[in-house]
Amino acid sequence: MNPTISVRGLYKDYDGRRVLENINLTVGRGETLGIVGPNGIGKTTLLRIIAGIEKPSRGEVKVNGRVGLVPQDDLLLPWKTLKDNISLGLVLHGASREVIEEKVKSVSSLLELGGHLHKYPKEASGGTRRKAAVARALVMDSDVLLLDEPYVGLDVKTTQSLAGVLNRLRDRGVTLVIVSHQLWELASNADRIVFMNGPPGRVDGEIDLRGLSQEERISRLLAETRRYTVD
Amino acid sequence: MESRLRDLFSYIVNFFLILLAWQALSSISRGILPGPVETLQWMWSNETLSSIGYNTLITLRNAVLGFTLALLLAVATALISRINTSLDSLVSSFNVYVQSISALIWILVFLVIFGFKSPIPPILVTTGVAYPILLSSLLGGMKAVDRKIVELAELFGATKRQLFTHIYIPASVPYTIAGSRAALGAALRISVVAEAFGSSGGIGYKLTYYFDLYNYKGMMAWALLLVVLMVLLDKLVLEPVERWSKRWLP
Repeated sequence: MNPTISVRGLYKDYDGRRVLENINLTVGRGETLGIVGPNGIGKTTLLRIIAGIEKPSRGEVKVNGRVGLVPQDDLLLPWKTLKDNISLGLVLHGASREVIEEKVKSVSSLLELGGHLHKYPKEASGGTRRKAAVARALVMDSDVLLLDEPYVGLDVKTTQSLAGVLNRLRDRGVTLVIVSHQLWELASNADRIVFMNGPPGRVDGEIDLRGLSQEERISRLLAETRRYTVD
Repeated sequence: MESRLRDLFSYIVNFFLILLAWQALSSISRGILPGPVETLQWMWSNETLSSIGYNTLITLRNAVLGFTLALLLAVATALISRINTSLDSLVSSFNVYVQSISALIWILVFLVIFGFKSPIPPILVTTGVAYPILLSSLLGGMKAVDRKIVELAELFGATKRQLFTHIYIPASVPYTIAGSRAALGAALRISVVAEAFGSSGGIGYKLTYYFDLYNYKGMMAWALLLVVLMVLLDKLVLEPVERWSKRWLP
């Protein structure tokens, strides 16, 4: 499988301080990669570099396809309704009203957002805002979706609902990279999980969950939890 | 709704407290300063509705035109400041200089340039006073935009122009409206002063006209009209607009 994302020998320094060291990753098309590590280890920085928002100090990052980013704090524009937030990228690309309506409708239906589109972000729950941030990335027909701590602050029901949505996206061939500081949040999504440790942030191990039943996934994760120290 | 009723009640109570204080001052001054009842009686019997309307409209025209010009200039300057960090720094320091210029200096400078009977000085003076207030509000609003929001918009391929129209300008609207409330109030107050210095109409002109005639009842009547005008403008126009502009704020 040709990698959709390829990270080779990546280093990142801020003001002479190394935050990422020799990161090597590959993610195949339609694969879901989880990245787990303690707070402040550079997971978000790595995601921002893959998204192209930041440049690496050294190394190479290749991404095939359109990238969508779902930031940890949603970053919805508070002065726009959820519908206008979701369609932001399309509007910036000059899409026609018909295209915007069609795509927003389709993605909203997938994410069960239909009844909330007229709301401003402040009127929506945390889970709805998170889904709107996912929808904003999806309407752009993203081939790669980068999600930064997507489950933080969500209740169990919303977490399960969002995990279901992400699985449906994977089934559609969307490549997902999910960053989390909680290993168990990735249990129902990830095909592979890489562990980061440090500082400086570096890849410290990997587990492959592909082809395992749910019971096998859980016992594997339990075993790995003992091996890796995660906050 | 309950807080709005409480608000209205406070305004009514304050209105009567001010009237009482005014009456008390009038009594202390032994008739030199006319009381509210005398003032209203004078207005009723000495001023025609057309004179009140004409002069009020002149003052409103001066304030609104000056304010609009200031708003256009402030938006243009704020946009220039977003081009790069050097221009941002230049605009910020320019604003400090403009803020430091007293309204009196603007009045004298524009009277020297345009003459005492020109309608232009009161308009430009209000521009000079409202501009730094509006510019500060706009710059504050634009700087309050989360840098990550801008980065995200750039990830979507936003151009510099789109960043202005979709991010910076809408984000600064509540700040600008709040600033406009202060700026329009200042514009009205300063427009009246400019009219007093050199103009052939407006509330400020009428105030000085009666002051020069030692007619304090006429002076107080027009002063009262100015206060009522400002309160009505604030409560009926500016406050609802500000509330609307902040509807999305958390």
